[in-house]
Amino acid sequence: MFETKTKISIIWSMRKWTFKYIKWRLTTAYPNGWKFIILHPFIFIKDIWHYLNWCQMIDEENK
Amino acid sequence: MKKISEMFHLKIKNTHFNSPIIAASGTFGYGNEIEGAIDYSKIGCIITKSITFEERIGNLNPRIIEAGNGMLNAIGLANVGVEKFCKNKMPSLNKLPTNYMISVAGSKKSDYQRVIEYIENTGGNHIGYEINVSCPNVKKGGIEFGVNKEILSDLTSNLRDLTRKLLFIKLSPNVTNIEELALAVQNAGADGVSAINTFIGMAIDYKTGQFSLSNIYGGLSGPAIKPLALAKVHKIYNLINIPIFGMGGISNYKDIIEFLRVGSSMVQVGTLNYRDPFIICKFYDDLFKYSKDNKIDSLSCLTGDFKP
Repeated sequence: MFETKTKISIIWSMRKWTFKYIKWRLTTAYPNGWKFIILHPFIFIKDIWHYLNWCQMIDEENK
Repeated sequence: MKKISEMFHLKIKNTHFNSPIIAASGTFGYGNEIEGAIDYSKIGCIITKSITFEERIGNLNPRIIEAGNGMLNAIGLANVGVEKFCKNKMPSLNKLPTNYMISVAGSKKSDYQRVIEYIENTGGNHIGYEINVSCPNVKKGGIEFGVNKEILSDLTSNLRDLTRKLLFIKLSPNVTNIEELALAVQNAGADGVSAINTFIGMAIDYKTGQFSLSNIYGGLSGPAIKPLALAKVHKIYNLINIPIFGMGGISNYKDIIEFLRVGSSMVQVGTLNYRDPFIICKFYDDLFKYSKDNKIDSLSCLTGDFKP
């Protein structure tokens, strides 16, 4: 049903996300949204990496 | 062969739905964030983030983590509060070409009442309310509203008096007999139940002993809980006769059919929206193809269509 996407293609598919949606996702994940990313870029990169792995795992389960 | 609109059409009380798939609360923002990029006609209903009377920033970070084939969250009901919601969010939600329901949360009975009263006085095109009862009741020593039959029944009947719109109670699975709670809310006047909310879970770093969530405990959702959710929906279906919005780990159209067969009238997709906010449209298309290939005239015929 899904094909397992590469991390790059998952990121590429996010181009369809609206600015408002990205803002909501960040505010949901972090209490202070954008500010958190600026203050803690390494934590954010680590979180994104975990998220991409999780996306691939979900895709794999749904093959 | 019927048209897709007839195949997927469903009516609950006086409300018409053009798709059996609902975007679950907390997984689709307030509902309008992805406007312009998504085909809303494929979504039967959007349930907003839970709204409390006061604005809340929620729990400290980390508050969402990916956990195995699921997700743990302890966001802590972060939301803008009912006043800003009515002022800033509802005008654009009212224009969406689909139904929306408002999720309501609180820490005491009066909080729920005040939110609904405020929204009812403001007006809007929302079709109803989904009551999030997985919140600690501060007046009863922190016990969740959703785990006690008497508290839940009292809350439901009080809220019933405040609105003529749809009133759905989102049941917590963290109880021994969920079906008894479903029966209690049915008897108290609810129009339906959403089943189920997240399971209490936690994660810990095996090397450091550090808890993964700042709140220690969180709600587990996603494909990991699907078999548990199916069992809860089935138990509820066997006891009540009001509609069930089935949910818990739906990750493809087959899961949707399974939830319909065990007794759901409609289904909610939650965690998978975090994988892809457009996923409901894909499920809708897959469901249509399946229905067409299998000559299913109406999806509502599948509700409760299981064989012992």
